[in-house]
Amino acid sequence: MNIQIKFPKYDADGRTFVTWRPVEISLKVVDVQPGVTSIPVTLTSRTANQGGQLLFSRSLTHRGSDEISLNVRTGGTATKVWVGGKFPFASFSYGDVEIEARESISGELLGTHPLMVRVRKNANQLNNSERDRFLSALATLNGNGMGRFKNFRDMHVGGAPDIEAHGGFGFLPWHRIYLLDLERELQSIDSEVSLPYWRFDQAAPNLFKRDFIGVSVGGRVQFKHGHPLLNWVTDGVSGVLRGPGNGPNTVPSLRNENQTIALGGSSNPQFTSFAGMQGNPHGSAHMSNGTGWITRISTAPKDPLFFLLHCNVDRLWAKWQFVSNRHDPAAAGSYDQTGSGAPGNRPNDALWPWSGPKTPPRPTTAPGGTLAASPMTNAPGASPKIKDVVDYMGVVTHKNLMFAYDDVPFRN
Amino acid sequence: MDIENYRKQCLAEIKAERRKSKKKVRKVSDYDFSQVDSEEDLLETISEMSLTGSDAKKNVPILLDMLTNSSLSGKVRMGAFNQLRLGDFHPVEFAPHKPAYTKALREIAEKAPKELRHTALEQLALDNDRYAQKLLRDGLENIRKPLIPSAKAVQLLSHDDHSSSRKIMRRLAKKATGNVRAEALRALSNDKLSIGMLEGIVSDKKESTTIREIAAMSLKNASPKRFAKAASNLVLDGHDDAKLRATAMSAITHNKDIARIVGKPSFIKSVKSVGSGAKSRLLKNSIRQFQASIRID
Repeated sequence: MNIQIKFPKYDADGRTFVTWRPVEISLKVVDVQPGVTSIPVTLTSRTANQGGQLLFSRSLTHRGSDEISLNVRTGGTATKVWVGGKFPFASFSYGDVEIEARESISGELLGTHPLMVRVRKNANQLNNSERDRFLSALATLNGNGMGRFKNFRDMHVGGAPDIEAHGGFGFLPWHRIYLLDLERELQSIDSEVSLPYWRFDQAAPNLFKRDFIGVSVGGRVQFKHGHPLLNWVTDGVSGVLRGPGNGPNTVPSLRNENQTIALGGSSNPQFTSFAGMQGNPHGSAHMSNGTGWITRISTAPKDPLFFLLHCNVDRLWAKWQFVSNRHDPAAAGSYDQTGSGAPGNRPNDALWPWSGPKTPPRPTTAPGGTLAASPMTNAPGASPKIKDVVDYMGVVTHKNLMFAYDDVPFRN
Repeated sequence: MDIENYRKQCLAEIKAERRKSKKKVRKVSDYDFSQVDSEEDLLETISEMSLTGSDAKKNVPILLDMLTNSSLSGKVRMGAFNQLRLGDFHPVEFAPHKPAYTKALREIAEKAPKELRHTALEQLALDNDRYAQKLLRDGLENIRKPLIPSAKAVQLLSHDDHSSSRKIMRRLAKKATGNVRAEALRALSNDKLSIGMLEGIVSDKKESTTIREIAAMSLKNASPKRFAKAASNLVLDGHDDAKLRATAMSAITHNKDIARIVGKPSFIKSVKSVGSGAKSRLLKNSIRQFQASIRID
């Protein structure tokens, strides 16, 4: 007799991933003796190498427990349970956590299922393997300038695309989807990879090194020999131009995390107030290297650091949402509901370029096409609207975009 | 970790921060710079000048004036410049001020002290400004006194494919030395006419490893097919520099098209043999990565 544990989705390699947000799994008994209607089963998680941990519950909640005991029905009917990562214990690699199903009385092991608690992490805290996998996937996506990365570079340029991405309250939702699109492409290369963030209000000595995002020498970034990003090419030119800035130190005159979140207001937090972070810390972080591509919108994505910067910008939004209870896309405080924004900035607007070419003065081309699919979720769809990306963990809408941050838990 | 307690802790920290940083919000009318005590105080005042909403109309001209005012210290002018640069991140609101900003940048690109001049030139070059590109080209060709070191000028000109600088780059790639030559070689990565020269440098063991590496990366972009041949020869050449061989191997690994060109069974077998005999850890690692990538495929 054993227990078949099945997750709702698997990738092409038969792997499955969770974030802090639980997913509903099914349990089935196979090879059971006739006449037995149910089996008492206890689910726990087993962690290797101080990796991920899991929580279990009978409903969608952040109040899961380390183990759960239940009767699993026989006769072909599945019994449902919710499983998610136990905050803040994320995985380092696939399979460093697995579910164990044991017969509750005898303790007999009836089934196991490996998975990964995959979340976005602080770049300064990645281990070498995580760092190298990310860099390798990014270099492969760049494909020496001929890969799919070119679309991401072409989405973030001056002119009409600039207005789409930076011209109103749509700034944060646009970049959320932009990062998600890139991350899904990276995960199609290496499913264990997630986008790390540069916490620009803290020192990041492990990030600004030759073996990670590089060191600026004479305005040009240097990497160690054999580094994957030595092959980095954008607009037909190899290398990265970036000023020395503060290097691995904190960035002065830049709002720290708490100051940024405080922008939203206290008694009735408002997205429209929080959105002021577009100038500081977002703009200030862009300028913090002094010179180089990352200091201009039209050239910023040519520097890989840009994606880590924006991952932190998105994390700050996610954290504000968490402390302010602002996940409901229809709520007044969660987004600008006045409908007065320019096209591409209103809740029901589909975001460019994922919704295709527009008519002037909006962009008439759409690099990259629709949003990359994920084997783990159908959300938010190929051409997401702004309202589809607010509730990224499916707290209210139950549409889980399948990303999360190492320091922002799920809470419903 | 208890999520509710964690949330309470976050809220408490935010509240404490709010109390700490409660200060009077200065309005534009309060910006009486003659009353400011110190340069640091002035810089802090500048950093608070908003470029959004109705404030932008009043603040931007003040900041532009400070940027172009040669009687102010370089530090203060740079402070004003850095604040104005944030305008790039509010494109809609800053758009009406862009022409005046560009005019100010062109002025300081020629006349201001070094840091301001260099930063202005870079900003203009990243915007593909034709005026700035001409200044940079004229400096490289000694038509005028260079405003910026030659290597930096080459770097900035290479940003724009259409900057009419190819001829200069080809000349510098052959004749210049040091960083200037390195930047020129990088700038030619899109130049079909330079493929032969780049190939020659890659295979010339008399050239430095750094120059050969740069030439290889540019060749990879200019002609993936010819790079594939050069890179595979490098990887298998037991008498060549191990670092360069590792770089070539890594370049093949991370480009599926190039890997397809070289990835015949005979090459894979030869690489395996190189890997087992290599003393260089860098080379061994890069070969291991290559072997892992072909296994995944």
